Amino acid sequence: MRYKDNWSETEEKFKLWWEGKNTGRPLMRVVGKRKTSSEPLEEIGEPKTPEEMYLDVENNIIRYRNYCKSHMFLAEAFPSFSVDLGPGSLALYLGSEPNFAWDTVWYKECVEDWEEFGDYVYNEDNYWWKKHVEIIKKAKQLSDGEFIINIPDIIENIDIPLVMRGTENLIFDMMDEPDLIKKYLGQIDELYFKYYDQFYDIVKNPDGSSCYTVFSIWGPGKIAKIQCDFSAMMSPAQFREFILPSLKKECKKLDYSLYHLDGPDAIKHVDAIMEIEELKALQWTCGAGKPDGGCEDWYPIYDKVRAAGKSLWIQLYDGNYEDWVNSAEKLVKRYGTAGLYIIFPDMEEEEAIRLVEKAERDWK
Amino acid sequence: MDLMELSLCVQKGNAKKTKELVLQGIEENMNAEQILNEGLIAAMGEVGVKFKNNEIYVPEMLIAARAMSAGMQILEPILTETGVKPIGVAVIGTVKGDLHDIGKNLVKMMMKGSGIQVYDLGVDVPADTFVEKAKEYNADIVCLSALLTTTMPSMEEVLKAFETAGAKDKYVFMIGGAPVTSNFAKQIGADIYTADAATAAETAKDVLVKKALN
Repeated sequence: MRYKDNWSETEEKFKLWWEGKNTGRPLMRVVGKRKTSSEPLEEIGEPKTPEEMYLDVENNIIRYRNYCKSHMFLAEAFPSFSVDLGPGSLALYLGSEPNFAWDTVWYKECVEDWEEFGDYVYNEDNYWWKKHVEIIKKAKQLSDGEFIINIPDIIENIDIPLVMRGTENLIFDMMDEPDLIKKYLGQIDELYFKYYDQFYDIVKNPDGSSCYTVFSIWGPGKIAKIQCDFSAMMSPAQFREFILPSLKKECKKLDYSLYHLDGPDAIKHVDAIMEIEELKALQWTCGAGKPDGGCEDWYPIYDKVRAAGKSLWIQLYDGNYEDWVNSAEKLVKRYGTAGLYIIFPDMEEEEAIRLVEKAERDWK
Repeated sequence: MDLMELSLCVQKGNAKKTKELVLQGIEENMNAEQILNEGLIAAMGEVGVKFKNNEIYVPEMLIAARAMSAGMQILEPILTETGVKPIGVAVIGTVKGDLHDIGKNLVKMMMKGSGIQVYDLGVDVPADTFVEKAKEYNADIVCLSALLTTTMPSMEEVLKAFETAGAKDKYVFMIGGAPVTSNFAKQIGADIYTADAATAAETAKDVLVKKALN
């Protein structure tokens, strides 16, 4: 890998992290902005439209290569490139249409009536599926082995019917016709892997290892972030009835899985999530306007993850360098360094070097 | 018709049975306002309390609101005919740039369940539309919702638009949404922040009752 010095060491650290083990300091994503680029940057303008920002893979690869040249990937940070059509592109392959915006992609609701819609079926001729495969293949070719191409954020489970049917309609459907929704969830469970496996085959590394979208995770096999953002709306009983069976199936099929827990309203499901034997780790997203992963308010979540013997993925971003170091120090003190992955924001070159030195020295 | 049975029907979200019981009450010449207050509104009050205590969650709240709405469809024409008025009027919407609607819809339903007439302006609502509609519907309360930190500034724009129109003092401004806080409400000059739909409805009702007493 061209822009990463300690890659084999990083791979070993990740293998241990997934198993809740570690040697030395915790895993850390540390990216420093170089004072001077390692190589001359290529001139490239900004995208003119949101569509271009998502679909123009040639220029996006040039922008990412410039990022790699102007940053250093320290500790377990590594260069990897995401080709996402928004969060949950499985909805596109199954019939939804995208609405590209600068900060995200919305999917248009397309299920007026389930009976009229019929079943979820694999359609190899779907425009967005073909387009996504095309641009991922292109990205793989253009990356030329210099950095990894991530498995895209296709998303599974009930979050797909959610965007296709709309929140309120889906809630009513779950109450009025629970068996119908369970049938659709079963179809999504199957289809998710039909699409996932094809992407995995395109982007996997020669040794079969892979990376998953924006969460900076690598694993020696099929890996994925799994989720249920809709769980924020659900009761614990509904979560167990509708969602947990699908999550268990997913984790069994994957070699390494990370659960993305999104926002305070989802915390009520942590106990159920921790019951998934094959799940390896939990990633906590604190929610809009809430303090970052270093806040002690979130420790009860981490305590439960630890008690279940799973690994933690925690992101720090509030305040400045000193705040990140203080928060990380508290986390290391409380949880040790085994199975702990701390994500730091991009920082200045000298800060990044100083942080890794401190971690090597003090966080063992 | 047993008003307690009606209230329990609404709480369980049984829309069909709710309709039947309301119709039965009307046939038995029960007072429509009494059916509304002691059956439907009382039920939604219970639902609000259970929601705040984490005894029930969003789905149960939504189906209860749907059942209440089914009952209201029968009662509304009779209430209008007999001159029974809502306790107040609110306009509600998700601010410009934000397409999330579930929180806004919950607040709307709970407010309706408190006897307030609510006009839903939808999502991605421009500041000027709030001004125009609050005036058109002669609202007492303007409710603003946002789920994203990036769309919170749109709330301030709405308040500024009311100020520019010289209408800020005519209404009570309530705001809510995941990233919103009471400090943010103070900062932008909103009157009230509430953390959940049940509290929003309860607070709105208090505001309107106090207004009626003054």
